[in-house]
Amino acid sequence: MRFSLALLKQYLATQKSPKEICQILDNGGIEVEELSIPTPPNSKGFEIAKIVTAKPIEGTKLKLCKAQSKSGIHSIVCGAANATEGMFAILATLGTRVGDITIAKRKIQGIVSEGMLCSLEELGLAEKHNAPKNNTQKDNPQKHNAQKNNAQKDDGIVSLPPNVKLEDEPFKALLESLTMFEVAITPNRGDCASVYGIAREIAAAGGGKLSMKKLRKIAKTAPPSPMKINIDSPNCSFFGAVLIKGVTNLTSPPSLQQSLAQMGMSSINAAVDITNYFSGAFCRPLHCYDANKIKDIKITEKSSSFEALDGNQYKLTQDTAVESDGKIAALAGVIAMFNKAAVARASRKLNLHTESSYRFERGVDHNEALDMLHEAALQIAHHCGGEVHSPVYEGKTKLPPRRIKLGPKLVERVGGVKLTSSQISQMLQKSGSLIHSHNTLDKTQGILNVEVPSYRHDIREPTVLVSEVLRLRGLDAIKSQPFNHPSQNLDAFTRLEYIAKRAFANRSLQEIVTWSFVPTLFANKAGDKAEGKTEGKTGGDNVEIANPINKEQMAFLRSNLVLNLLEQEADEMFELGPVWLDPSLEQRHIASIRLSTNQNTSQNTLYEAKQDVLHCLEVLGAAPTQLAQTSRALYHPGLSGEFRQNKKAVAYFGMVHPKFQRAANVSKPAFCAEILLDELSLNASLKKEPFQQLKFQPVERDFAFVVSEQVSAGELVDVLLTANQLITAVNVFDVYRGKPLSQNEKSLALKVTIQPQHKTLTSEEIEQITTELVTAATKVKAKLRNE
Amino acid sequence: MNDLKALSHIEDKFIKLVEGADSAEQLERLRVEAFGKKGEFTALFQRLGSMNAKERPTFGKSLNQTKQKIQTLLEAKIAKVANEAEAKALSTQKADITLNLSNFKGGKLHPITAVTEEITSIFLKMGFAIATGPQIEDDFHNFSGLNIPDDHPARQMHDTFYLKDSDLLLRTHTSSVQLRYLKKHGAPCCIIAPGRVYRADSDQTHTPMFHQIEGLCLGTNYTMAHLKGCLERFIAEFFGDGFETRLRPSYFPFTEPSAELDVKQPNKGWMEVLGCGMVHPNVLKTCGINPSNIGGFAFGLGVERLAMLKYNIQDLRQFFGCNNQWLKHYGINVEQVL
Repeated sequence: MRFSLALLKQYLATQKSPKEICQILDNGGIEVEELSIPTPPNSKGFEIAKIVTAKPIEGTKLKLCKAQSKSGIHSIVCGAANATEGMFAILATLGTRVGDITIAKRKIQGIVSEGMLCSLEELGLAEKHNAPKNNTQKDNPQKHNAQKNNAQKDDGIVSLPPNVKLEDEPFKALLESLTMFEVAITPNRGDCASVYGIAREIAAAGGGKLSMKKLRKIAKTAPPSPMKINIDSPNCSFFGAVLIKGVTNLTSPPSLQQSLAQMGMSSINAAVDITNYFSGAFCRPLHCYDANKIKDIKITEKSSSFEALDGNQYKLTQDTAVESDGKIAALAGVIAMFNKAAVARASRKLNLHTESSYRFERGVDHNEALDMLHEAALQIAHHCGGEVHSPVYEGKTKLPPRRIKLGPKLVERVGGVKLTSSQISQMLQKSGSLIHSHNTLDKTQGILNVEVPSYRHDIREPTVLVSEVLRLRGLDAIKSQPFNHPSQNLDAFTRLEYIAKRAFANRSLQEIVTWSFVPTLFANKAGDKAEGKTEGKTGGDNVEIANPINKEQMAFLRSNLVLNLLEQEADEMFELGPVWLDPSLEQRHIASIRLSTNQNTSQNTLYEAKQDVLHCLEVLGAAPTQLAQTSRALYHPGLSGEFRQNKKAVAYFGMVHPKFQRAANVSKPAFCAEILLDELSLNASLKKEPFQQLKFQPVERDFAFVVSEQVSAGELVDVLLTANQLITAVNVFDVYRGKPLSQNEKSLALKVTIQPQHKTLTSEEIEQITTELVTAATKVKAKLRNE
Repeated sequence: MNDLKALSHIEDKFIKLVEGADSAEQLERLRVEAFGKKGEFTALFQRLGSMNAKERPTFGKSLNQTKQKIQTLLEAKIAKVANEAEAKALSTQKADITLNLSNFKGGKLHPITAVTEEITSIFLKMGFAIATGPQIEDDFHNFSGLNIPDDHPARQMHDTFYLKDSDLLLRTHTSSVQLRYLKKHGAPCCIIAPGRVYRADSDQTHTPMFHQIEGLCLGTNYTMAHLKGCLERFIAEFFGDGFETRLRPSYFPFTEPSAELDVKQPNKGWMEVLGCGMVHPNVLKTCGINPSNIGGFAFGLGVERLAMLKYNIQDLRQFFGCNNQWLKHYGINVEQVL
């Protein structure tokens, strides 16, 4: 909500500076998001002047103005369209420096001009039209309605309020109208959603004295109204209307237009402007209807279409509407005393937020509805003429008072602050509550019987009164208590993430964080569900968002991390985060991506990806029991694999399927590693056996076996490991293809480690093991290369 | 007497010779001349056997002392010459220490991870345990159970993502974990809940996904004074000393009273850091807890916001992408102990 210092001062007599006012509001829980104070030019030579006469100069758009200031009458040629008789303006007298020029006597169209009536721009006070501010406060509809906050129109000379005096400091009134506060009203403080409400809040905190003209009443002698009101809705507690006959609806007087501008509202016409002023200044939404189109009024629950004043069609489903002659005239509280919950529901459902709904949702003061109606009707008649009829209304004009009991005990129990009953009483009275006499039992316990003001919709429970007391006392009064509990350990669930991230980072991978959404182009394409993890579930892979803010990027929740990494064109990076195959199945994955620099080395990158998985599984203590080719659609069918535990795939690695690479526009082959962290069984024991130094040196022998391409290295290694129980390791260190081998053959060079247990092996014994090795190799039809 | 004189001569001679020698070879020769099989000292020791009982002790003592002296001198000189020779040899070997091992590319942890871990470790130390909850939530855990009924204006500010053809939503805050935890474990409790949260909002200062850490502490005698003490300790540990803090009244539907915690760096303005308050009696009742017996506080902080304040990060949106330069700059080495 925005308002100017000038407007605030209409309802608050205060000596506080704008910054002090901000402090008071901040301390009270009304957050001042922005305070803009313009810097005026040096006031030397400027005077307040009243335009006594303004005569058009024939054949030009200029006017010859006679302006009365404290230094005399000045004759000025002025080009501003808004220069009119009776207006107060800012005069730069002869010799005054205005921007880059010095005002001198000069002839314009042959007429001598002895000074200049200044515009905001000339004074260097015109608002710079910056791009919209960064932090858009979502609960503030005024931001969307009016960006400009200038009290003054962009064109024309400065027009000062009619109550200024010629002797006043020339820029004081102008600066007050240009000093703008922007405050964020929390949803509970509807009572502060008006300039008057803010003034009341500051006054309660000792920041000034609240001042309000007495509201007038329509004369008892006014003609009776022919209108009838019928409330047929539980959501409307009061509805009142005044008929004004014979209205001439003109533009508003400049002062009213300026006041609206100082609340960030734009002027429409006098009658509407007055109702809008009541909304902004007093949090009293009012509405003007054309009397020719309205007969009797019925407030009812409606389910039909409705064309509002803004020309749009809105579909209602059991929403409260103002109806006349069977036609809907307004949507209760949104575009026209309504139940705040009903208004909030309707406005959210229709996505229609107005000045009026903003206030009704937060709660307006029921008790002053009729009084405000009187005053507003009289003001409309004053500006637009017409005959004011007696008001008609239905519903209670006053609601029964709300009383809540509060004692010092609760204040101490919640707030940790010791206050006496009378201290609490004093504070609450200052903020508008009444303290009633209490029964004897309450009296002995110091419990107060508090009647909260009708405008404080939020105070309905004792704890809210505690908040009110603490707020008024200032939260500084709370003395902090040391907080010391025995320390806790990291739980296993979180620890898994810590370790997995470090395992990947240690593989020279950089951690990144990407959205939990998958780009739409990949949605339902990865076949993750087909992987069998959610049997029986139907539909695509990806959970869909009903109201995405970006249809290309954020319409689906991801079912794997790989496609996010690919889409980012990340290289040597990893992410740990959630994926979903179903709304009820959230799982943590960790995945890495490496782009291969060229086709020839891409096999190496594949093994880097495999190593990412192996290293992480090792440090997590999750021993894979099986390695196999994977059928997962995400990967290249030949250049990929999966690790299984208990027959279930828990990790994948390999080249991303070329179709995804093309879709993501990634030109280099991408290799990924994925671990399904929540599927892992952490079966490997991290316990260490006592250390035993092996007494005998291991024997290492190198072999080269020629084997068919259909046999994997792993298969050969497996059979060699079973050849003799002294063989503890078989490691492949080279793969050779080409001449003199035939097309379908490869040569695997491997190092075999033989670990003697009880005695050093003789060369005969080693020879025997070698023979066993060669024999074992025949199980996969492998032959020693040299044979 | 003559023997003693001769000994003195030998002594003088070898002192001079040792002093004068400047190579390992010379010194080796001297050692042989003095103590070798045919060495001068060896000869004197042989003569000792033929001396009478009266002379022998005196001469023997002098001979031993002298031998010791020359031997010590000789060894010291040998060591000295060897050191000099080695120093000379080493002086010719020189590496260009400005050269580096080619590109060591240690991966770094993301600042969100680093700051989350940092905050977590502070709260673990203070006695909070970690709790978790799902990111796809229902209306009850995200809103209505937290005293945010359907018609509450606060819902508007939450810009909720809803799932298609479903009443489920993406949680807008980690406060949903409060209900999950309390319904399962009840009170008393002292937990934090870190995690991703979502709001349908995207501009310079808002991202549709961000990270929060929720705190909840319930017991029989907690007041706002404990809340203040707890958060002050957290701020002191997280930002270091010299930061002032203040509580400012605010409003959240699930706490009453509610406040925002601001911090102030020396010579800088107040910065809003987190929201907090005393758990609303309605929330406790919803979880089957009697608010007249059990009460306490809750708080929620934004991880990105704290990271930005502490590590001087300007652009929120950079957190979610793969700008390598940015990641290298703000990433934290895994060896770092936070």
